[in-house]
Amino acid sequence: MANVTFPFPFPDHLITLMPEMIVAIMAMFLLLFDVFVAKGSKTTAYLAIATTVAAGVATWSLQGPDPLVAFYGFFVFDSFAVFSKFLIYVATALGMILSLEYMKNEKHIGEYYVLMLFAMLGMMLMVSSNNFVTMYLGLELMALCVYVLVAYQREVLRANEAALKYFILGALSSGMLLYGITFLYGVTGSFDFAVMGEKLAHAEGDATAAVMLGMVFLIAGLGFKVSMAPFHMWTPDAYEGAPTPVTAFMSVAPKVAGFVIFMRIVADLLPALQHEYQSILIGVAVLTIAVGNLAAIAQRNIKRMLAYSTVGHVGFIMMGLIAGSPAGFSGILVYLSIYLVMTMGVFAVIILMRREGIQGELLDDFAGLSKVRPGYALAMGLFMFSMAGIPFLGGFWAKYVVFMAAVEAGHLYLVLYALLFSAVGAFYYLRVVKYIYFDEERVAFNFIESRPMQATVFVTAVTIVFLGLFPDALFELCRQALVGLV
Amino acid sequence: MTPIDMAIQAGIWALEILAIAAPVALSVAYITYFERRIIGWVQVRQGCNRVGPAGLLQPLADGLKLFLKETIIPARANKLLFVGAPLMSLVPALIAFAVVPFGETSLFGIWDTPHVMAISNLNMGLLYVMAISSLSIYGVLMAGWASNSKYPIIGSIRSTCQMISYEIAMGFGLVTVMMLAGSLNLSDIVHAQAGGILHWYMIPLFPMLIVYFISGCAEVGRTPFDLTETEELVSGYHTEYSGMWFATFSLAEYGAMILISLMTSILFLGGWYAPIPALDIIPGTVWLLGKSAFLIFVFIWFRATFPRYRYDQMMRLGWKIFLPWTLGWIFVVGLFIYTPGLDSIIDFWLAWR
Amino acid sequence: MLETAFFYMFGGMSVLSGMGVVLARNTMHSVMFLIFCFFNASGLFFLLDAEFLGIILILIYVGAVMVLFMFVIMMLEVNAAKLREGFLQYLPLGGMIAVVLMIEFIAASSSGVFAESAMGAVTHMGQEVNNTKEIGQILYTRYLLGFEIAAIILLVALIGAVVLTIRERKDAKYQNMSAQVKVRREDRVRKVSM
Repeated sequence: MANVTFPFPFPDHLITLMPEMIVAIMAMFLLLFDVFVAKGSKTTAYLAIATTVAAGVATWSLQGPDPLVAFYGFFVFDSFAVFSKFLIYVATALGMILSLEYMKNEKHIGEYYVLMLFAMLGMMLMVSSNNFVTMYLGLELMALCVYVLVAYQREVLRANEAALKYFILGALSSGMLLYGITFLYGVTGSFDFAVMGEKLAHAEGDATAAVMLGMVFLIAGLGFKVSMAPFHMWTPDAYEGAPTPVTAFMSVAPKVAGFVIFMRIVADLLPALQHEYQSILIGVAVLTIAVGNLAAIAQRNIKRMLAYSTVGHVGFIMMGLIAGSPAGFSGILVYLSIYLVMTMGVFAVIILMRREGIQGELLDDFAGLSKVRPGYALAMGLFMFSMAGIPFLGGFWAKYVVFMAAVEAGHLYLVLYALLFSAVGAFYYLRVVKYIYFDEERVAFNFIESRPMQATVFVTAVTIVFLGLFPDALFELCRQALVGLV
Repeated sequence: MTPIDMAIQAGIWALEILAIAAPVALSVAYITYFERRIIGWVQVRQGCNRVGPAGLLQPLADGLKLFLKETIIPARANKLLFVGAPLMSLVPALIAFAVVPFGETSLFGIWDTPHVMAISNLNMGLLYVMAISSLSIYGVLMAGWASNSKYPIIGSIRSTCQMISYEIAMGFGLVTVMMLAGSLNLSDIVHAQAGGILHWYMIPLFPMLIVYFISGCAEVGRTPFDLTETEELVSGYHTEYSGMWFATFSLAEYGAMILISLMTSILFLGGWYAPIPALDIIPGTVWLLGKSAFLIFVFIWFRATFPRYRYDQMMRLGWKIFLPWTLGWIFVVGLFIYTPGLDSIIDFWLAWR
Repeated sequence: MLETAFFYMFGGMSVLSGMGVVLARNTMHSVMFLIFCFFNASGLFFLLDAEFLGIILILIYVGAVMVLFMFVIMMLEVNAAKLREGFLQYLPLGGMIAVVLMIEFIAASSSGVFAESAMGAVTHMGQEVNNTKEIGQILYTRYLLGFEIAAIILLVALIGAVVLTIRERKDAKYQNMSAQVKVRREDRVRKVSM
């Protein structure tokens, strides 16, 4: 008779994946559900947002002092994963809220939210992975969804171009990543970060060349995904071509997931090679900071400008990786959290300015905003000041913790270099403020009136100010999230 | 292994290959004859009856004619691929026979245990057949492209779409067979159906038998799925072919048809077993070939009976009907296998329990 | 001995056909080389007793993926000369990267890890080991999570393909099958008194 035994105790392990299962099942349900709702209805969107909330609740209810492990160690649920998952939930939920108005005229809008949920699922799996199998599959799931999301407005030529560039370079980078993984696997015979790290620490002299090659490819592959500089070429085009809410989503969430996995790799896999990876990362960071901040000056389109600004921020975040200390890692989490809030706020304002025919994308379009909508102008000004790192706004503390960690780790010159370029960066952020406050209105403004988005702008602006004044709570939270990792 | 042993082994393999390839080629010739006779009979006319007694030498005459005709290669064609394409469709059709078990024999009691009569009794037999038969697409695709002509390329694109679409339904249909037999080895699948007609997989998997056979029909491109060679395309991808190269295509097509019939008999109709165990005194090979001959007759019967599908109808059948059907049946079979209580019903066919 | 000979044959052929993919002037020939390369790779799998992987490689890549490749290439008019236009312009940078990588690859592959002495002695498994079963067992237990994620990736690929290609054409005629099946004689035929 039936002698079917499940290979693992059924409920204990699966409960660890509760948030993932909620998201996956809801995404598939919405895919079917959307067929039956009326065209133009926002029910699917609201259900998708509710799903992120439900996943958050599930994650919250599962978290405990001890890390949980499921599926033969292929899935971990530790405080680090919990914190980064919450960042991802917030980013996805905000991305969906920003899409509510922007995408409402698209046909077949249901799949849009489904793809966002699947992208979120991929990132959730990524941050919960402690091995290359889960990590790579999560990464591909996320990337595939984002490619499609970028190309979602099919009739827009630049969206197609952006998606194609993003896709081809993304596929190339995945190939490089895999190639690097195969070398490391060849040396260690395992996919598990900790096991590999153990083996690498005891690797004999003649393995170095293979390990180095693997590591270089690994860093290059991941560097593509978080747009480190020389691998950032796709960023401006993809950001400009994508629908603006997608730009907002993809400039935050994949970066969070990418850096989280970077931290796990650095902490578990590469401690034995600290000197080697640090020298690579320093070189990349120097380039990234310079490219991001200098190229942004020349941009007239705010989405392109923000793309380069993202590259710049990525360079700053990398300082935390280079420090390689608990302070550096918690600094990265602080930076990512604050970056999330600022970016979402900025994009919310940009989307609110979308007009018929003209999208509020060129810097000129912001001219005279302060006279028409002082509220938006104030919010935008705050975000820009914060991104520039002006003291006593959130962005200042983000840079502060990362730089301090790097100084403690003995990278004083690098920090001075970064400070220099952060001053350069302040120029183009403040230029936006200049347009808003000191220029005359050129084109009549026409705003989208949407309560959820106005609320987003309000909440993010308040959060930035609040975090600028009382950053200690966030610092503490990020420090606690790292318990167990380092 | 000494060189002499190796030479003997190589000789045995060569004989085995010959023992299958030659009858296949011969039966292809005579299937064309029977096809014409049967269609003639269905349409109340004579069919070929001039060359030899009752027209029996007609296939040889046809072969001679094709052999003597000039092979024309169009001036703007890609010569290498144009010449290679017929071979690329023939080779997969022939090498797929390597794993087909034609029966079991103890060679009149010389061997203690019965041996399976196959060139290679591969553990992966079923997948091998699927993989190899999926290769025949290339011949068609290349023929269409290399001809550098409009009708062939339209024909080959149609044909490729058709083959890919129906391969999926076919593959999923086979999954149910694997689920019941618990093996990919073709002789094991036949063994799992031992014990009379009630044990044959056509009983629990009847819808899959239908899906597999009709998909096979589409895969080979026989009527009612012969859209690739319709009149409006001036006979599709082999418009530009003549002489022996043209004959190679039909050889491949009929070879594939024989293969599908053999596979259907093996997978669903008990292979070399008789419907009643008492009848097993008749050699298994006779049963297998008899079942296949009947299925080949069904192919011809289809051709005489059904009008051609329109292109969208054909796609609809493949994707919207067969695919959900097969997926549903996999689900149902899985449900039966793993649900306590229900599994006693299906235990009868489950060889691996 | 025979096995080594086959290894070098398959290995050498796959390297040569890989070069053919890049160097062939005709894109169609490139595709054929790639297919040949897959066959050789699958031969290598067979040598390693991994016949399941070998067959699957042929079934999926040669039987399905490459057919679609070929389809696309047939539809596109790829002009090889135009593709090569910027070749010299990018040669210095590309060549430099290629040389650096080449040196690294040689260094990596000649380092001790991949030396023959460092590899475990591999003996062939007996006929009774069914590697389909073995792969199935490990795939559905230890690697179950990865397997499930891969399934979701495929679902996303499906959704993505539909989203990016669906278009509603006004001038296309569609057939409503169920309406046709449900039709009654009274709906279509009318008795006219003459």
